[in-house]
Amino acid sequence: MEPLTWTQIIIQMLIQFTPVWIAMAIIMVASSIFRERLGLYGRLYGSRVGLIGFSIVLFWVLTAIFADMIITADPLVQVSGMKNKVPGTPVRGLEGEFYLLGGDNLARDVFSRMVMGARNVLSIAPAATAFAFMAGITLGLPAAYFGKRLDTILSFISNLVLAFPVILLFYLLVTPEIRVTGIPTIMAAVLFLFPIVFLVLLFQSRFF
Amino acid sequence: MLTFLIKRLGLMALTSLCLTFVVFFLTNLEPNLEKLAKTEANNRMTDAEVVNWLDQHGYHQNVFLRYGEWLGVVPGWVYTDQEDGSVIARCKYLADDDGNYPTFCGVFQGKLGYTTLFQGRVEEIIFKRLTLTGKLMGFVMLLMVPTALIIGVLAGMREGSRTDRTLSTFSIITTATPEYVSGVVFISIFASAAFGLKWFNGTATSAMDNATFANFTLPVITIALYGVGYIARMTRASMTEVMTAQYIRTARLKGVSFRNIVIKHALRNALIAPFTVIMLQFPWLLTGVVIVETLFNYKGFGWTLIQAAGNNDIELLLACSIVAVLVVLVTQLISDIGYVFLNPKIRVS
Repeated sequence: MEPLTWTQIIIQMLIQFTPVWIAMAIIMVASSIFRERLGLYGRLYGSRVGLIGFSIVLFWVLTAIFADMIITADPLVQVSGMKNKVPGTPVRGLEGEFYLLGGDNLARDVFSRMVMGARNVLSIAPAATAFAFMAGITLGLPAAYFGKRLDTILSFISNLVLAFPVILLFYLLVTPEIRVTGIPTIMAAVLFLFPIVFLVLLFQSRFF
Repeated sequence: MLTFLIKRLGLMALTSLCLTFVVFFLTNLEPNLEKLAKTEANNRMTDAEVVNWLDQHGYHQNVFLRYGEWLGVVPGWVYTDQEDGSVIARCKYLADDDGNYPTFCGVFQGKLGYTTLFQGRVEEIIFKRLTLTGKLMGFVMLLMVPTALIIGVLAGMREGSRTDRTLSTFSIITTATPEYVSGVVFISIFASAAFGLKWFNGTATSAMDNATFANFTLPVITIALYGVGYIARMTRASMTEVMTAQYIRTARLKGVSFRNIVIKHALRNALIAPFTVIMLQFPWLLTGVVIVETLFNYKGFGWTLIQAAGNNDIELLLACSIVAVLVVLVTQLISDIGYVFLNPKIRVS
């Protein structure tokens, strides 16, 4: 079979994203109709920049949700002879199947991997931000409220964290050896305390 | 001012002590030491032999004691074999021709240790690599700071104009593109056969001895581009704020030309905020340097850091972390002091 041209690849990708386009159209049309009643979210539809930003986010969220329907091949399956192929190469032995964005160095479909990757990113990134937010607030609030010595100590610790080169920490923590020691588990346990404290704090400030 | 400086320097020393201890602790965990023993001595050692090796080389002392040895406040580890009298000592690599070596060898003596990976003294390796990275950073700064300031001032001088919108979009796009994306894109466009534009080299290894336009442009642009957008946006924000100030309106009502307003009245005040941003950009550049040096195979500081971490070269990694921490702390200090000099409204208390 003939490999696809770039125009065909783009058209095929747009077709693959059909569920996302339909869902996006429904959400955006419905929201702009009821924009008056949607408060802060509705105001996004008033400005062009807000609209562009929101549609990018919406696109990726919906891609993550419909990832199963969008992918053209299993993102983990290796097909022999598809290693490092250019975009649009027909899959060997399968009629009408293409690697839309080519094969990676392990002969897997790059397009499907990208779509499936949206799920991982969208589950990690918001969680990381939320944790940073909650840990920051639970440490920053008492530092400012009690002041004096606690403030000094907590500021010093936060300066320590700021001064630590991220890339070095990454290399120290992401090794197979460190998992044996259980440090990641302990860190996770400590980090998990912050949301609990944070939620208790929220509850306390609202109902007592 | 002097007490402020002394206080800050003391705080810096304490911070670097704490941070190096964290790195020391993490690199000296038992599984890491086992890996070290196996790479150093023999890959097929039994568990008992590993324990024995670590005992003989002093890796099983208390971690605080060993940290003290590394600092140079505790005498270095010496082990004498009972049977043949051979000596294993921490400071033995410093031995002169007569076989004498100092009792203390640590940071306070100016000795950062022995790298098992590059087979040499850490301070020499680090110095060599840092000069290479210094060269890269120098060119990056030379390109990044003027470009960013010009873009920022041009965009901020007439807020909302077409120039402003174009330049702001450009700076948002560059900050949104991480180095590992822009680097790969640049290589595939300018250095591969895919687009037929073989203007530059895709590797900067030859730039270590002889930096030319062809082999040094891509790494420099890749690092600089990320920073350009960020600094430009800060400069734009500060410039738009200054342009709405009362004294600018007064100058305009007095009939000063727009060019003179921008150059003589607004620019100086608008450049105070970007100064801090530029200084705080240095630590961020460190991350960029690690990625770019690995991508372009430029064997500088970032590349050394990766190699040290990958091979669990404890003393090299510690030296790298000292450098990284010092870069962060010194740039913070400079930005704080510089701010006081630039902005008369701020006083050091």
